[in-house]
Amino acid sequence: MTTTVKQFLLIDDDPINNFITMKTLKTFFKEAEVKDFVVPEKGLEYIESEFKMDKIGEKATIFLDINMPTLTGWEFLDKFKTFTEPVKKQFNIYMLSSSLDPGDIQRAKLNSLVMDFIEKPINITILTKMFGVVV
Amino acid sequence: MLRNKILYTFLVVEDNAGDFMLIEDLLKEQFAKATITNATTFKQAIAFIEVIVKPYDAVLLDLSLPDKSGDELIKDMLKMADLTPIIVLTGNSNIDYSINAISLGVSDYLVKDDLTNKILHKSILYAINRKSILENLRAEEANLKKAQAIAHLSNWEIDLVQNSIKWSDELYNILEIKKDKTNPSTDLFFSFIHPDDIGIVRKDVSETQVNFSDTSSECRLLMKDGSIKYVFLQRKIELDNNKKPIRLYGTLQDITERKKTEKKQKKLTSDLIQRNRDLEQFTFIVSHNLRAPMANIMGIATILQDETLTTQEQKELLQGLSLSISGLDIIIKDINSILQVKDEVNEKKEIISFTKLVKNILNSIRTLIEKHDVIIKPDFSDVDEIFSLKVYMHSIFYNLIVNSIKYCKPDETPIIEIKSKKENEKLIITFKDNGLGIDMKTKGDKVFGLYKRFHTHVEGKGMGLFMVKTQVEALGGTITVASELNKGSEFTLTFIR
Repeated sequence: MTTTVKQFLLIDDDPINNFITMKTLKTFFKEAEVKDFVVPEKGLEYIESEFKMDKIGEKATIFLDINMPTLTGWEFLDKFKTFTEPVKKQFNIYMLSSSLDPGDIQRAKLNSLVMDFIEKPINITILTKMFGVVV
Repeated sequence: MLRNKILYTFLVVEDNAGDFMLIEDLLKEQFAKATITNATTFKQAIAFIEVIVKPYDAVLLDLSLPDKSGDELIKDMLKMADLTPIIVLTGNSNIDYSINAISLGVSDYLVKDDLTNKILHKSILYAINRKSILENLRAEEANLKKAQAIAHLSNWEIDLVQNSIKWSDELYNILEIKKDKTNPSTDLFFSFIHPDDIGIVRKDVSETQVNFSDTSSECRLLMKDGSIKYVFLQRKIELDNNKKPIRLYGTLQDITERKKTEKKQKKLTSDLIQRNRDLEQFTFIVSHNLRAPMANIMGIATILQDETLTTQEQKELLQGLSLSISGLDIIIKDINSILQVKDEVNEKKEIISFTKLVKNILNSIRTLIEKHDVIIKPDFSDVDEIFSLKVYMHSIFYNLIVNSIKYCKPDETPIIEIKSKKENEKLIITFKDNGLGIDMKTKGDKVFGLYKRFHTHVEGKGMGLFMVKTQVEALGGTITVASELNKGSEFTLTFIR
């Protein structure tokens, strides 16, 4: 298997959190391509335009916030759901939220598009659990 | 046996010495140990009755005394003697007169010529026995009266055959009227019932009268001094053998104290519910909002430990740290102001003029208004005043006006119409703008939510409308919104006057 660069999309209106996630990802992975979107709609546009083709290789990971003013994480998922299967299957989506609301966690677990609910802030321990030890 | 054991005392009111001796002899035969006193005038009799410690067991009264006689003598004697039995002894054997005397209240009426020791003995024993029954009855009546007064529970009855009405003393007390100056009647009672409650009481009464079923009603009494009493009424009807109603009777209980307690209890419950909501709100804020800057601080702290960071990266991280800490502080202050809302409601309310209120607010945000060329159209012609809490009213008006200006359409002159009107018991205030509006289909349920924001182009933290709603509700009002995207929004506030 050819080594491909890990791809990440951060959808969160909070730039500070995006910075933290980006920094942590880049520390964990020697080479990681991270794009962040403080406006979720822009993130959707990016997915639609850049992931048209069924690319061979590793899936990209989306870290999705829940509470955002113009479009909530759940609304983002509703829109994402309407994308074609070839587009959808290129992504693993994780909810990345500071919420302690059990309702939010439950909702994330019940949503088939969501891999897991991750509590902010992201750190090396969590990444290790998600991706294993990077050699 | 009786005659020997008890030391009876008798007062014989008789001016004729011969008659007295005769009576004394007759008494002695039956009551050997009795103390017999003779009074020869009404005046003297009264004097004896007044000084004696233990009342006489009986008074034997001749009807023609030098200073008083006949009916007048009987009446005045009865007044003085209270429950002491009075046996009239007279030479007059007229049966009509004897009936008259009995009806006035004497125990017996004996004709001197027919008098024997047996007759006198029997009459006295009957009288004494009657006295003790009367005493018991009086004591029971007094107890009943006391019990009624303690329970504020009165009773009444209407004799449907005689068409007469009787109220217990407590009923007069509850109505705060004097028994001796009142003619009890259904009309009089209904004149006390609060106008709004008369209908229901009449309906219940006729239910009992027509269908003969027991009914009860709760109603308010409007007292002469304008105060309100709550009473509970219960009624029953009594029928004769032909199922014809003959008596309507029941109780009336003053339940004002209980009602007051109930009211306090209700207030306490609603306060507790409100407190609980505050706590839920608090939990919500903690889980949704307090956590966000906290998570950032934790994240940054971890990354800062990395020694390979460049100076630029370190600088950015420290800036982020500082921002997150400020954010945390703002949220803590918000929590404080949210939880304070309810305490302030108990502060003094005052009459507030809408015209003045709007004028003050517009003055304070003049720069903002001039910057956006806002046109404000207030119309308080229908009603210009509200009795409320000024700080809240100011905050509500301020937030709604500023909100409309903040979210105006960039290419259109913002127009804000503020109108007040009366509708029965309600006072309605509307705020209408031609701004960006909100998509009610997707965001409708979140308009008043805490930290909910629908636009990102202007600064805001989603606190304004949440506070408006909290304050309107704390003042006992409600707020609703109608809005259409790109057309504008209209907020409607309703207060009970």
